[in-house]
Amino acid sequence: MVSSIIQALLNGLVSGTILAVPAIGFTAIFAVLRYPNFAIGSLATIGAYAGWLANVRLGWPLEASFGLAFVGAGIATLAAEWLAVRPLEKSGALMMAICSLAVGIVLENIVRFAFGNEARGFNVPLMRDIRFGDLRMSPQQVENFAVALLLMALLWAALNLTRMGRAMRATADNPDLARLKGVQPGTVAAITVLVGGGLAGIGGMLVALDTAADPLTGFRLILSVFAAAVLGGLGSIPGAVLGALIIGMVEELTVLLLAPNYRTAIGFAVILIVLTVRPSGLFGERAG
Amino acid sequence: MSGADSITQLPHNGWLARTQPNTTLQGRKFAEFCLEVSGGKRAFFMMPQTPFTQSTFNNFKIAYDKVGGATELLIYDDKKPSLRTEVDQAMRYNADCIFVGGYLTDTTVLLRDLFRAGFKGKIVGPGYSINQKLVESVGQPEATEGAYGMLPSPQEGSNGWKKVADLIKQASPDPFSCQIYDHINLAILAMAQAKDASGQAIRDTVRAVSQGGGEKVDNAVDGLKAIAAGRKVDYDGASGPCDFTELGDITDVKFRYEQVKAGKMALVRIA
Amino acid sequence: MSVLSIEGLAGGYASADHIVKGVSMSVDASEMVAIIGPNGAGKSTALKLAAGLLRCTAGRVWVGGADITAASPQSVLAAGFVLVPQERNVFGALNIAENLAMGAFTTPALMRQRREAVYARLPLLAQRRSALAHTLSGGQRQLLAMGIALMAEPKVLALDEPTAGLSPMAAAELFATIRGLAKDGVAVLMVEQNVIEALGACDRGYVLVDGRVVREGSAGGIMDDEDIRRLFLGGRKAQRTAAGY
Repeated sequence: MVSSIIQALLNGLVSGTILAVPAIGFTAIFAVLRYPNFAIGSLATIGAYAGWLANVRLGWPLEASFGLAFVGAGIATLAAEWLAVRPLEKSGALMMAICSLAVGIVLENIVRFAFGNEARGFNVPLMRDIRFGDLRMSPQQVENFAVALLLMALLWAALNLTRMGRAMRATADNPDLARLKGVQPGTVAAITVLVGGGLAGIGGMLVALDTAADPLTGFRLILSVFAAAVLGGLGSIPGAVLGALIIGMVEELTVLLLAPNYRTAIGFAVILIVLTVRPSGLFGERAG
Repeated sequence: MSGADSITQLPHNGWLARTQPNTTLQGRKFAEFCLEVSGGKRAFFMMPQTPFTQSTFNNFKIAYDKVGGATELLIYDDKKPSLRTEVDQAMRYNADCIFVGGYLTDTTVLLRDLFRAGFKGKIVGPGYSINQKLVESVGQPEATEGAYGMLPSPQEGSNGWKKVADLIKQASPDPFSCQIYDHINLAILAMAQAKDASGQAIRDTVRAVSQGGGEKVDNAVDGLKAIAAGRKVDYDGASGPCDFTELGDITDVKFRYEQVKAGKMALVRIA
Repeated sequence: MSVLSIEGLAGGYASADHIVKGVSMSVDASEMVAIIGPNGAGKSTALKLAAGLLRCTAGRVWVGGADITAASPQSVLAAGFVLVPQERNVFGALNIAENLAMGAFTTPALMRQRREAVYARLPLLAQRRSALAHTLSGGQRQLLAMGIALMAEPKVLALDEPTAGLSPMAAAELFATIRGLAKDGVAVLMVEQNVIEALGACDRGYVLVDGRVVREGSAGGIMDDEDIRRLFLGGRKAQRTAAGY
């Protein structure tokens, strides 16, 4: 039993790290644009298909395919933002959130129309797991784990060491002052949406690499992503990472300790408990 | 078309009879085939939450219990992007056969994870998920090689089946077209037998023309002649023998068994 | 000629409401000027209109000869006009060094050099450069807000109630710092509630009542004016006593 719990935690660590990538995208968009973009699931799906297109149809290596997943999903997010969500800015965050939900459904069906309903596997060899004692891990998991960590490190560097990254954090923290200091809100919003959507796309491709790309790839993630972001505190990037790790591990432990089909319930339960007990989440913004 | 057990358990007073096999029958057939191909008596049953998961498993278990075997059910979440922990559970059970009862997408995930875990036993599943599409979506031939898929099958090669093939101009008509063909023939024959073109007539006499011995017919035209001549008929159609229980369920149905061989679906048998 | 000239400025939060009803002011280099007046007189609104944060319905604003009326934040900064808002005037989630960097967002090439200059002038910021702004005390936060403003090397520094919420000692220190800036040539225009301290620190003052300038002149002159004393200063003193100072 001990080894199976450790194994489940290990699986959860990996799936949580992968989950963190789209969760960062989701929370970053919330931090700057102040609305939850529920299209993030479908955008992850678009990333998965863009990556699949690059890898299988165009024969690109995985590294380059990740690039297309990022760019494809990023552009789709930006287009959705400009065409559908932004025009509703005056109606408030709730309308924007509802609009993003609708955008997600439209995008999912565009994917169905373009690629069909079948699952599409990536051109990566399926390898047997590496075993150490009672534990096992797949080489793909290790690779995905590394990609997710690398991406987070890059994002950290971009946010902390570059002028634009600093402006993004400043805008998320205090948009009025940032504007007063000459930051153009439109530019920051566009970059945030592009990067946030791109991260969702890479998240979708990471999941699809381990399984396959299908029109619901991202939809399956959305509840976990949302739960992770709420748990960590909406708008907090470190919060999203920690939230994703916790959600990832809790989901795997559910399989062992409860029943696997309660996974969805766990996501909702986490959201409910956090919103009731500590609405600002683990790393939530300070009041006021 | 529904295979859910609960349909015929509704208080329908005999107004319902169906050609689609119910889960009781399917569960039993699944188990019999698992026992046969694995040669062992330990099966792990993995299926997402559906209205027929529990009843399919219950009937699967009855068949295993009957031969002194052991089986365990794991209901998984088919929206989970990875099923590693679930597969760990299956591996720990040391099954010689795993029945995978999901749909295409989650079965893809499951088979990939079973391969990674190095599962060496037999894999059996419904033909709507273990098929050529699965082989492609899994992407790695070794991961699906040897897996079995089984589906209720029309009575391939029977006279009724050949007639449907001619009618819809398809070399291999699907089970549902065959079943519709049987529905129409049975309704016509029942009305002829009762000499009354009403629903009541069909309800009362459908079993008189569908089963119980007599002249085997595979279409309404032949059957009408026999009935006119005063002979008892026993309809044997395109989808199967079309014999019904009291509740309205089909008593037996043929299954089509296939196996992935060298990345292609190969017919094992129809029985 | 004045560094900052405001002529006939009018406007409010919405295009319909006229909180400020035609205000004219000017500030010279090295001069410290206070805007005082009762609550709701339009003091802060006047600063926001001048900075372009609110859209004015009439009037003109010049900084060093450049017309910055209703200009973009970038142009206002470039002209050398920097407003320090009363609240939320630092980036709480960023550290001090990053806050200062944001002050020179539009001039990245000059950022490091200017930041060193700010550190030299305000050593406290240098000591705590990696502290997150939301961990600072009220006085430190105002100092940081000032530092962010200095990163733009302003010709005109507009301060909206810089000593609000500060202890008398912290307020005095802040006034001394501002005085130092003025000595180096910056024109300072501040809105203040602490009337006596503000007039004590400043050279000149404007008294705003109901969106209009009702009195202007030397700080000493305003402080000695019997009407003004009765209207505000007496009232303020009474309030302070009541508030338990």
